[in-house]
Amino acid sequence: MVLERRFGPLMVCVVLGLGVLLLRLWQVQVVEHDVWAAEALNLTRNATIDPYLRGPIGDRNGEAFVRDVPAASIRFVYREFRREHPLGQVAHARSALEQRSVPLQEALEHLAPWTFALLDSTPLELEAFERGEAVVLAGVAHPAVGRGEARRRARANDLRFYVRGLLDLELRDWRAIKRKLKQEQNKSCTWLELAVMQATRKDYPLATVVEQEREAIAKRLDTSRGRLAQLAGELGVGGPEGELAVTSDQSLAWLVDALELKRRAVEDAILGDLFRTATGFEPGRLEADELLAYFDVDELVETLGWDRARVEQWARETRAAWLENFRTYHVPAALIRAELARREGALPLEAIVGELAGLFAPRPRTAAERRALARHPLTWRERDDLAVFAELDDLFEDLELDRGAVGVLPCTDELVRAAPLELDAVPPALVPFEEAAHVAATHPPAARTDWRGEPLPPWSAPASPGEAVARLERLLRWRAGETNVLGEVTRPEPLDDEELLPWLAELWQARFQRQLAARLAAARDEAGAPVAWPRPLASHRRKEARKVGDYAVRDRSSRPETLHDSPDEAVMGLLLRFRADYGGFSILPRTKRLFLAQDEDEVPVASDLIGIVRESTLEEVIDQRNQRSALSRIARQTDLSDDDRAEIDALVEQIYRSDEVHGTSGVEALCDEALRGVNGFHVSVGLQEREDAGRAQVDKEKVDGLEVRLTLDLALQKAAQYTIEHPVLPSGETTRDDVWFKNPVGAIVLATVDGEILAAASGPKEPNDPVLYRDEERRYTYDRCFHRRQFMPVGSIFKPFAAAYALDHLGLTPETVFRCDVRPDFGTAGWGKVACHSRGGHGALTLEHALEESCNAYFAQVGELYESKERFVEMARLFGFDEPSGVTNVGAGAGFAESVHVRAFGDRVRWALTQLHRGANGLEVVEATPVQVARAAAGLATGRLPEMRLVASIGGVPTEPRWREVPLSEYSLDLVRHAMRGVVAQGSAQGKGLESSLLGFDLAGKTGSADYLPMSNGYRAQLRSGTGSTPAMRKHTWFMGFFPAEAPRAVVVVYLHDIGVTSSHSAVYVAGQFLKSPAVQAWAREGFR
Amino acid sequence: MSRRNQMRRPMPVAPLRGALSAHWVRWHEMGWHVLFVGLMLVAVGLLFLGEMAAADEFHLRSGVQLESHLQKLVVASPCLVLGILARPRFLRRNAWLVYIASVALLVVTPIIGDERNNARRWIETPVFDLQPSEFAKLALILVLARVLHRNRLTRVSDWFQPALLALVPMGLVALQPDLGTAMTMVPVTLAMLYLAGARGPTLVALMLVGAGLGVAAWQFQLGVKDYQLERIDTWYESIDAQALIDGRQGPGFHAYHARLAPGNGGLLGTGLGKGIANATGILPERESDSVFSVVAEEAGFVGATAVLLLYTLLVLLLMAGAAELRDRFTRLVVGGVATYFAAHAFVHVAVNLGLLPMTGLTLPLISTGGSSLLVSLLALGLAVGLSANQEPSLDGDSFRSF
Repeated sequence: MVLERRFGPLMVCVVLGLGVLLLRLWQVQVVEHDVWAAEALNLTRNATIDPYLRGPIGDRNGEAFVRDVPAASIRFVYREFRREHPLGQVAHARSALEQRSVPLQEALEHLAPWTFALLDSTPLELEAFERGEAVVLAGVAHPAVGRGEARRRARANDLRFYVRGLLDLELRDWRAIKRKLKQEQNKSCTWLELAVMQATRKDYPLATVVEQEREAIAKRLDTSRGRLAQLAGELGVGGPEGELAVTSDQSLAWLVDALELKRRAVEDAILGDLFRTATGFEPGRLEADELLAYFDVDELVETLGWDRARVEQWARETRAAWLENFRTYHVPAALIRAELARREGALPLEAIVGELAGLFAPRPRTAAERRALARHPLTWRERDDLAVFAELDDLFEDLELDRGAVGVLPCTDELVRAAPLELDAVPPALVPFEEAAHVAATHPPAARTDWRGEPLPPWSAPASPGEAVARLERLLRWRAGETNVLGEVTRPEPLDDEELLPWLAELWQARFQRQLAARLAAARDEAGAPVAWPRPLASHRRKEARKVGDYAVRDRSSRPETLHDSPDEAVMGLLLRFRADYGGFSILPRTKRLFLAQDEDEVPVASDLIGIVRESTLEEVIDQRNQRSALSRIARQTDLSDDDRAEIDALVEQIYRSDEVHGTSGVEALCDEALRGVNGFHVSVGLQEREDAGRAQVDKEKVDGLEVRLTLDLALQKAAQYTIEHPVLPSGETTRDDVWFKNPVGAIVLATVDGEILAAASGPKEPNDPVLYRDEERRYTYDRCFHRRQFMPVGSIFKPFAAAYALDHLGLTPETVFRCDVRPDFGTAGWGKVACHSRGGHGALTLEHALEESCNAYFAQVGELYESKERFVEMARLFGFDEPSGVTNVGAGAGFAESVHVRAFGDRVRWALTQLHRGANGLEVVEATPVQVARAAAGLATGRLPEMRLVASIGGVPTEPRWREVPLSEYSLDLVRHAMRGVVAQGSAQGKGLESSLLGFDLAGKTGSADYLPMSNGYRAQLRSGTGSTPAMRKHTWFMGFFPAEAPRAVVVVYLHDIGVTSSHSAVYVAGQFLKSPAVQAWAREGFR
Repeated sequence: MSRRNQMRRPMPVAPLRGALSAHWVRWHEMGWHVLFVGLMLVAVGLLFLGEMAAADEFHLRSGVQLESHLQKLVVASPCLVLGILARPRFLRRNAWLVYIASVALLVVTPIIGDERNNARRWIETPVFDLQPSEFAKLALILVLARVLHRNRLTRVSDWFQPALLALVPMGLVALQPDLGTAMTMVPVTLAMLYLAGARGPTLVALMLVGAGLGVAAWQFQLGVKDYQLERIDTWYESIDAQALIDGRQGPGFHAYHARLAPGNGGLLGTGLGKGIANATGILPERESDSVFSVVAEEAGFVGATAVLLLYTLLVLLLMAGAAELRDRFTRLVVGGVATYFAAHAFVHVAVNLGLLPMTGLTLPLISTGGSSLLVSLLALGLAVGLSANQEPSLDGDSFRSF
């Protein structure tokens, strides 16, 4: 029969079809199972970066100056809080009940009553509520509504969820209760009774157990409130001004306020998502007034249960946030991209206009459009639409607006589009100058400061369109720079006009707003009275928003927010120990760089040498976007080959964390590469809700940065720091500059003769007000051991070097006698134009005496022996002047700034005989940093000029000491060394407390006082507080020495800035104070090891 | 209905008068086993939809609701009884009316229908969203059975009427646009033509021509919407697993997740409610157009095969039962219904396994969806009822079987 009625072939077809399906099913389910199972895991894969610890920087004994310490931040996920924490549950249950956004503060106030009101309601009441009947539920009266009230159903479902949460019911028990309710059992019992009946045996008296359960729930609520208060108390702040909270209630109120703010931010973002989905543009693109006047968002806020005031608040805050983001991120990022494009050869103006136009480009409507744009980005000339405008044609219900964008912005201006955007032909239409007044009024130029934080004059916007164009052309030309014959790009003069481009973007933005407002107003006027405003969005757009509604709620409220970025251990302990009581709160690991070594004034020791770190710049982040997307792509792959894993390793090493720091100055910069470690990278698999299912797929362990040990000795550094901050002028000294000693500015360097810098301290450590009549250096706290910011001649400490070279090469002998006589034209002794400090003149002097007395006239005549600048410079360079000290010959050699070159040694500076006279005395033409002086002193003391070292070892590998021989005879050097011992024994430093009996070792040294600036009357008046004579010029005074004199192991250099007395009355005391400090004495007792 | 019959009998006062009758149903001969198999499939659907609903509730997603499915089942179950009790004679007489009504609904759908996912296929009603194309399939079966029960397709002119009748709803459905549903009408039509006497080679030739036209339309982008082309392209590129994985963030998103779920299930499945599709809720339309993926994931190859075998059993039993029927109209209706189940199930499963381009088609009796449940239960009832309905018939075939 089957065959006769032709069903046979059909049946065969069916069986064949089954066969095909089964084969395919086998292929997918069995053959490809591994692939798909891995993909399934992938769906819940979560990549986390484990931050490395940046290497510590310690002194030579391993005492840390600075180190990374593991820190943590408190992460807050609102969704988890809403679902798991009683406060969140009650607030949202009440919101569902009252159909308004009930603040957490209010919920906290009524935590127990509202909880029990809900738990004492019955499923029957809830069902009546769900059906839209008039009912009193949990103490809230609800009028009857029509059948079409869909929100009632959703609200009832929410309420059921929170009932379950507040009852803390297992899913199994909850299902059992629901099953019974479906069978119409116990519907008139309260939820609390139902829960109790489910959990206890039937033979128990129900009322008693319900009371017990009620007490248990009340206790749980109290605990959760108490835990929140405890957390708030441990966080330790409260009040709007961040004052310390006095009571736990105050801190709890602060914490709940903070949580409510997070909740509002989440809800704001949800509405933002819905609005964006519906309209196709960001809500912040519109001025709040326009958004509120034209856009009816009532349907969009339905799920959030907002009132009008809340919508208005959202519109204003959203606009403000958008503008802030536009100004602080989008515009700078666009300009950086334009600059990067320019460096890669794009036309500068073309790149800038392209990027600015991109800020106003419409969002791609579909994923396909987005992908297509990613593959083939449109140039700004190819685009003829703009954000918001592109949507206008079908934005509103039954109303079609003009979507044309021609002429709205310069990038859609036909004249601009037609013109080639050359450097020297900026089309005036590019600058919508008519908006300048509006921009100046609404967004005036920000106050500016220089690198030291000093206020700069505010940037002035162009006053006319012509000026704007001219300045734009000038800026672009300056950025392009000039290429010299060597192919290097140079920029002749600094140009302070970088604010011009953000200002231009601001003009565009203002123009966009004005045009948009006009377009909307025109539409309103044209539509006339029949059309009510604000107007609902087109139905298909509202429908789109409805579709993403649930997703937006889930997505936004699941995003973690940082509640606190440096909680202490007590807070972390609390959150970890009572995890169950802190639904929504968790701990996120991070690192923090701490200066551990502090001096008596609690100022970090050697902080200016160690340098500072900074987080990644926007430019660096943008520059790494390709690596980031590559990492994200590979990490999501199902199967990872060895190559993929290697690439992950490589990318993780390259990519910075957003909070990762980079050394920008000092040792942090010098050894940045070594100090940086490698972040760990873990890909864990597991559902968010199923923590126990998580397991790791990729585990790249972090590698902490290497330890960098400095040559500095913490104790010696502290002693040097203390000395330069608190110098003491002996009371017996009659030639005094007490003002300087009260307001010291200077530096002390202690180093081994091998070049290891043991201490390098500068003062002041903190910015101070400048002293009247003195220069402004007290304002600035920077390293003065390696830097010369001002004119810094070395004075007489240069004499030994000039002498040693002259002995070897210029025919100077120990017996050579030069005279130092009074010069009538000076009124004092001197030679050439160099005056000597001896009023009556030293008379005839040999070299040794001249050094001991530091006779300027003698050394002016030694200077004559040099005959030429070249010879003099050659001598100076033998001792390392005018060249790097060597500290940067480690690590990347970058970032550590050091003043090196002597201006007067430059090829263009011509010297006369006077410069030789002064140069041999260390005046005018010879400048050096204290470290350069220390190096030269070591060269003099040992005959070997060391490379100075600040870094002793990196990762346990010591840096090699390096030096070069000083090509002078030991005889000459010895003569000079001997004379320097005489300086302390019977010369200019005699009787100043540097005797070996006081120090415990023999010191050889040299004083130096270099003219800095003419002395004003006021300055001089300050010195009259002392009784000694006052020099004609303000000085920098120096002391340079080595010790023990007979077998030098160390050098010391003291530099005092802008002082009114000579070295013998200042620097020698500071040197003595330092060398007699317990730290130096202890070190000396240990044999200078 | 012939003109002569109309002359002889007065027009019924109420349109449904005489439509239903338990008098002619031979209950003991009814295909209880077929009904049992069908209800087994409904139970499978309930089981899996229950798990989906539980997962959505657990994860606080507003997705699948078992209550809603049960509600639809409750609304649709009378259709099963309605189908069982329907009198063949009434159906034959009113087949045209049913057809015209369904075509009219298809015509108004683009005007009053609700647009979703670029298509206007639904008419919103208070209970559920009506999908007229589902009803059109059943109407097509009835009207084809009506015109073919005296037409043996011996002459070329015999083909015109059934071809036109099939093409009108197909065209209207394709215009919604819902090419997938339109395409399911093809096998039903072809099968009914074959059962009515069309020559096999002729139908094969027709199919080849149709396939050729389809390929040409795809290649030269004629008469096919962009999104349809994109789906076809996506499908073509993603038959291979790795290609699908690579393109998962694009148009292949649904196809990717639809294939990932069964692939993840493996031989024995993840267990009820434990599949990735339920845990993440990411598989689109998992309660309707991709329900088989969830079944295959959680029940594994073994369970999925069992479900497919149940379907095959249902179809084969219906066909075998139909072959026994003497009344040609009834036989064609039951045969059409069997093909309807077979075509639907095949396309649904093949789409989710990547054998066919992605299209939204429910799995009859299992998927949720008011129209789908309503029509599939009605069709099942009709097939089971008509087999047992022994009204006297004067069909030529009735004599032939004696």
